[in-house]
Amino acid sequence: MNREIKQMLKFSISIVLIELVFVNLGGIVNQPPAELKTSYASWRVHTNRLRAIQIDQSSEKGAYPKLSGRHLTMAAFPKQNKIYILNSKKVVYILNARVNLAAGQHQLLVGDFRGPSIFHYNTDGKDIKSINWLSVGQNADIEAEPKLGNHVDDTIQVSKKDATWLYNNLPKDVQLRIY
Amino acid sequence: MKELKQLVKRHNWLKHFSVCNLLMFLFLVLYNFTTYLVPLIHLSLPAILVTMILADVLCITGQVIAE
Repeated sequence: MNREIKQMLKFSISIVLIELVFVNLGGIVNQPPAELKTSYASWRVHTNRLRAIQIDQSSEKGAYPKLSGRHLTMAAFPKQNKIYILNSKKVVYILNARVNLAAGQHQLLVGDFRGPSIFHYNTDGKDIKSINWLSVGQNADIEAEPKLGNHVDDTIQVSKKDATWLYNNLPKDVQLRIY
Repeated sequence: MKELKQLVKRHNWLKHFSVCNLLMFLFLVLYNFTTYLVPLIHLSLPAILVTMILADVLCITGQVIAE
């Protein structure tokens, strides 16, 4: 490697390092929602893992975390299309979810009942089959979104993989707070 | 402008782009992998490309000023 290339390489990498410092300083402005009361570190790592909304993929990249033996709570932000699964002050997982529930802040219990399939009827009277549902309060549920944009009232729609994971792993009676 | 023209003629661009950009790209990919474990901000692929282009432009400008 000649002297010129070496100089350029050093210069380029120092510019990249300076840029990375500035990008990460942006984290001071970009903070988790105040209602969550979680650590910035866990929120940042899980936000980095988050994918764009897709019905066939998990919300986060990488393996699903273990949920058993943890005191879990959930927080839904309908405007952001996100549900946070929390363990005390740490984010355990972020779900991309379409929250089709009544607006306003309220609290519900998740996972009291669950099943492998559920049917709804759309405005044309056609039935829509969703898989792996979990009850949310008395008359709503979390379920897989059969097709992108297939809106069903009184549901929280997640991807098929996420619905299967929640159906198999989420403990009973987890508190969900909707903001 | 004259210096820039001279530098463009003289400089080995193939070597520059193959060595500097490849190493920078690998470095940024490594950085992105660490963001899954450490709370740093993850960069998207377009952000990586823009960062590299910016580094290149600043690098060439610096070279011209130094000459």
